Amino acid sequence: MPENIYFVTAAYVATWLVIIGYLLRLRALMARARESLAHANASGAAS
Amino acid sequence: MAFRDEWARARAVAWKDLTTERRSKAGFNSVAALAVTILVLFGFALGPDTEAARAAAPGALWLSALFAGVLAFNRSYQVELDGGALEPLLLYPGARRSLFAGKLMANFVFVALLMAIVIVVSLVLFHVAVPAAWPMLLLVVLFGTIGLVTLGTFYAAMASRSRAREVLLPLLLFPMLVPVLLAAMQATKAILDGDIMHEAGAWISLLVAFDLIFLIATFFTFDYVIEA
Amino acid sequence: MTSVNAQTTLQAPAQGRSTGFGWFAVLFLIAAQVTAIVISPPDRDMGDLQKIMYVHFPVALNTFTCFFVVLLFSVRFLWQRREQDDLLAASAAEVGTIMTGLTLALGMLWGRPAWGVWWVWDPRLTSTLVLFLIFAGYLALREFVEDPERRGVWSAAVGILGALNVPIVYMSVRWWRTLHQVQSSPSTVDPSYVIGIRLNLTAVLLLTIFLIWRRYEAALTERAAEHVLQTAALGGANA
Repeated sequence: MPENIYFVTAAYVATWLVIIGYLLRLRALMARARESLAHANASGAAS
Repeated sequence: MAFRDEWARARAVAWKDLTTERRSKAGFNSVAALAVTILVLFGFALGPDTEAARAAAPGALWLSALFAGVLAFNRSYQVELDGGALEPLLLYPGARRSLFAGKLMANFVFVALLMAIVIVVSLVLFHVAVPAAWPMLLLVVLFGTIGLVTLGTFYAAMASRSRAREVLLPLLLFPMLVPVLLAAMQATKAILDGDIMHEAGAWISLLVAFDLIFLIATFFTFDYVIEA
Repeated sequence: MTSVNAQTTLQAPAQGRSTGFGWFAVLFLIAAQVTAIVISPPDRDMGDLQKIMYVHFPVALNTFTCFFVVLLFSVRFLWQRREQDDLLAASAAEVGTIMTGLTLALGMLWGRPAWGVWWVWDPRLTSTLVLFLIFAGYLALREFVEDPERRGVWSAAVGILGALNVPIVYMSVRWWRTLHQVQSSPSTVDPSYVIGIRLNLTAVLLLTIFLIWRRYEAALTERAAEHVLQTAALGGANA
């Protein structure tokens, strides 16, 4: 069945989309968390 | 000795809940009315075909009991939360599990009564004859209801005290109930079909096993959940 | 009453410690996939379709890694009440839920050409779907509860019961199927594919560890910030 190749391609593309998408989300989460930590440290030191 | 104390406490909690329920009455009546309404809607969804209705009866029966029963589980904590009575209740001496056991018994009575109504109505609506093995059907209802109520009471202890409890309880509860519902529905179906394949017994034992596992697991974790 | 010790402030993780490991995991996965695709001949029955198995099977198996971590650290959290355990369990639950979703998608991409339908009520497929729903509930619960201690205890309870339920769901669905219909034939793994499968299993395991680790670091940093604010507020009140 030659059309099988589409399903195989779709499977690998889906996998990498999920991986890259999640990595990007993690990066955003991390950046936000670091920002709020820096903010907290700054305001904590000020008081 | 200690067990007798706990048992007495559990009974007291169950009695308190049931008394509140009986005095208000509105609660049970409206939940029962909802269950019947859901059955009628199932009937419309299935169409006027008698055979299709008969085949779908076990599923419709358990699902309408489930959808209506969910309301009871949140309610069972709601009354105390509204009155600020949960904290004082937790201050009483003794293990928390007697509180859980009490709530469990009260909810069991509530859902069992609901089941009685739902079964009678669905026998009529879905053209199902009372099966010869009706004592076995009672067993299925008994153990199915225990499973339903155990997980329902447990998850409601969390969901009722969170934001968005209306969504959270079914979201947490329904996937967890898959094994119990599956076993209960299949056993019911087998009995209503005359149990030609002799599989109802196997499903019932499976149901008992699920009930035991979930009872043990919830009794172990309830102490943590209610105190948090 | 046992409670999370408010005195111990959480330490934010050092920056970039997991990055090297992450690169390694990603490159290893690419290498494993390329190797598996190149060295494997087309399957006798399935043709090229067999190549889906190099992602589907490792991802599916590693969801259990995630949920095992959830179970383990949920139990330990209830026992020792270290907030880190709760955060780690939650991270594993999130990664596990995403991987379960991916497993389902890959299963469908396999099922459509292999069986002609997108979905069959196969015990493994069905219990994977129920697992996905259970842990979607777990993540929703965490969204809806603000108090960290309450969130930790409740999600630990939901996580433990959810993990316990996995074999039970599988068993009940299998019974339900075998009593009424023939079970769909399981896809057997040919010995010549074993190397490719093993390589990819390792690669996905490494990636899973990395994702959980990274998610945990982010959660830890976020909570550390909240701890700092809390301590500052308390210190201000004392001074």
